[in-house]
Amino acid sequence: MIRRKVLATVLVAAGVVGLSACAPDTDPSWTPVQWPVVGRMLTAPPPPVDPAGIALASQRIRNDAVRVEARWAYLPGAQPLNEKIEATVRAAIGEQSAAVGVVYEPQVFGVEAALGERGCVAGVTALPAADLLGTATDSHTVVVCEIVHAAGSTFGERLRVVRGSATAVEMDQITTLYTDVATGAVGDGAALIGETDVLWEDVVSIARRAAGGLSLIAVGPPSDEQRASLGNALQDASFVGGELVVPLPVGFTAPELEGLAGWQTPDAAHPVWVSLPRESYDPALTDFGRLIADAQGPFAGPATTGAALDRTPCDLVPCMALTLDDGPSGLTDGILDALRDRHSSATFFMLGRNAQNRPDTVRRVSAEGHEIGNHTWNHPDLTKLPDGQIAAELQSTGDLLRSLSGQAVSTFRPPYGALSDRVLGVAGMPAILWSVDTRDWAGRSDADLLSYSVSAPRVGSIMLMHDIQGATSRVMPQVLDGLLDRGFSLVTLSKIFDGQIPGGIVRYAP
Amino acid sequence: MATGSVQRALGVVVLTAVVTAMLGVAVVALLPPIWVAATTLVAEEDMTTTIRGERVEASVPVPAGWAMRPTFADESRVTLTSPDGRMQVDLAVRDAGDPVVTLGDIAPRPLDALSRERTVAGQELLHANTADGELIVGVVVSGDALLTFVSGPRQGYDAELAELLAEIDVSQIGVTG
Repeated sequence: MIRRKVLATVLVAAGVVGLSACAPDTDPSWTPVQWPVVGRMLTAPPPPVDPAGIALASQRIRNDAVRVEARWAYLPGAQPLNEKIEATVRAAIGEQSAAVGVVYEPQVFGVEAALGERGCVAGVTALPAADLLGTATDSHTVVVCEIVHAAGSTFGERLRVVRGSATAVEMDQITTLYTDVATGAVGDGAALIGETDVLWEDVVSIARRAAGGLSLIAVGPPSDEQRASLGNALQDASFVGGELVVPLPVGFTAPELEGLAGWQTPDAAHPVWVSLPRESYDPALTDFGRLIADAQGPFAGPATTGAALDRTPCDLVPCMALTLDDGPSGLTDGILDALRDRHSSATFFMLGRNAQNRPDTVRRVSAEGHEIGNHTWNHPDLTKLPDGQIAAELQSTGDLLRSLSGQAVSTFRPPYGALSDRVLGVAGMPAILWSVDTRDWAGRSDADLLSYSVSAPRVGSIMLMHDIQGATSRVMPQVLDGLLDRGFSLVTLSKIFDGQIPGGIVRYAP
Repeated sequence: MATGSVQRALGVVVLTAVVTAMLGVAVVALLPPIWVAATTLVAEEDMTTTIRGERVEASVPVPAGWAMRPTFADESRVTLTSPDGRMQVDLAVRDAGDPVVTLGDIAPRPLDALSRERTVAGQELLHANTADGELIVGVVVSGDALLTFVSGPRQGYDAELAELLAEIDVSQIGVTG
């Protein structure tokens, strides 16, 4: 009997163990479903593009009468893009000018005005508007720029225009301009996306997931106001690693987000970005948008070949013309280096006899975008020569310089500034004199030469120096830095006259 | 001899008591697992099950590969387990109750802030994460009736829970339109 009971117990235990072993098997290869829209919410702006490796023609202006400061950059050779960039800057200045009732004119400042640092700054367009406006209490306008895209043959620059004072932001507008330098196509951020509603659905879905939403109820279409708001936000969008990063507009919300514990409506103090994967935004892309989005690899746009070849609107930026006489010489290359490094240009009035000895220097001057003028063959006082010799001096020099440089060489500078109506008539081309004479040949100290050369020019000045003078060669880098710091753009004679150099005697630009 | 008989009888009694006690322990301790093992169903294809209280019932989807386990002697509850065995969703219906209070009642741990949404079926959905972020606790509301759920883990499985919730339909018995 005892044995039977023991046996029964064992059987029951075995049964229990046996039934327990019937628990369902698991399938480790199974994976849970994932959200249909894969995207991310970001609380920091996308990393800025470092413009260091991109050749840009950087600009900066300041005008205290109109109360405007602006920084922007041209992409050399990208004329359609540059025109749109400039139009944005001009519009901002025009509105500010109208607001204060003062006509805008280019303005320079005293030495050490610290205007030498120019162009775009990484991350600046994401700063709070108040940071850009600073502490000034009068309403003023600030324009800043940032390179936001540089891949393959495509490039994007963001301009932000902020108007207001230390106490109030009156206007804050962002425009991002893209171009494909291979085709010349240009469009703004809104031109990237054709179907804003497609993005709306995904943006709301991503925000809903990030806020902890569990509902799969379909996202409703945006209102007209929401659609316009998202469209504006696309101006501030960026392609980053194949994803489209869109800043959510201040006040952005949707019925699907209200009620979610994890949702916070973005405001100025809590900006939010949504990063959309390619499969999400691809159906919404325009052809232009696809061109930009598809671009891969390092930026392969045209490099600048010289400041003079770039766009410099002298009605917008304060221009002056640096002129260098009597070369080329062994000092000219150093001066060219200094000009190149500061994205500045000059006009070289060359002697035929020196050009003959240094043809490579003549070619370099031209290749780097500087202008070449005629300074006669032997540097005579032309007023003391008969007509035939005047003509020969200018003709032989002009022929040589044209053949070496490929330039028209359509201006001349009479040696010593000695000029008469007769000489002018024989020359048959504009005689370029100067409004600032540095007297760099007169043995003044380097410090004096530097000080005078930096402080004397005004907007439109034509400054005389000589690229055969050691002092000029020595102080040239500091002279250029000083002029740039005052706000000047150094351009060629043709550019300061917008390509229309007047006839007769010219001493300064209008 | 009498002493020997008494000893033998005593031995039988003791042994019987021990065996009975073992059987009792086996019944108490092992019957639930046996019940679980015996009643757990693995769906071979997508199906639905119904849990019901006195005045509420809910149609609950059971996707193919998922294990469904009813609660012993309680039709108002069911537990779903994902095919990988990692995700578990405990669902139950309640005839009535304040949704927010109920949420607090069923939460095994302190909760974060509450979210309110609508399900695909248009029913109110209240849910919150546990403060440790491990679980999602929620209530689907239909009139007075409630369906509660506790689901975990949250990370990586929240979309799966959303899929389940999208197909859950809670209704009050005897209440139409």
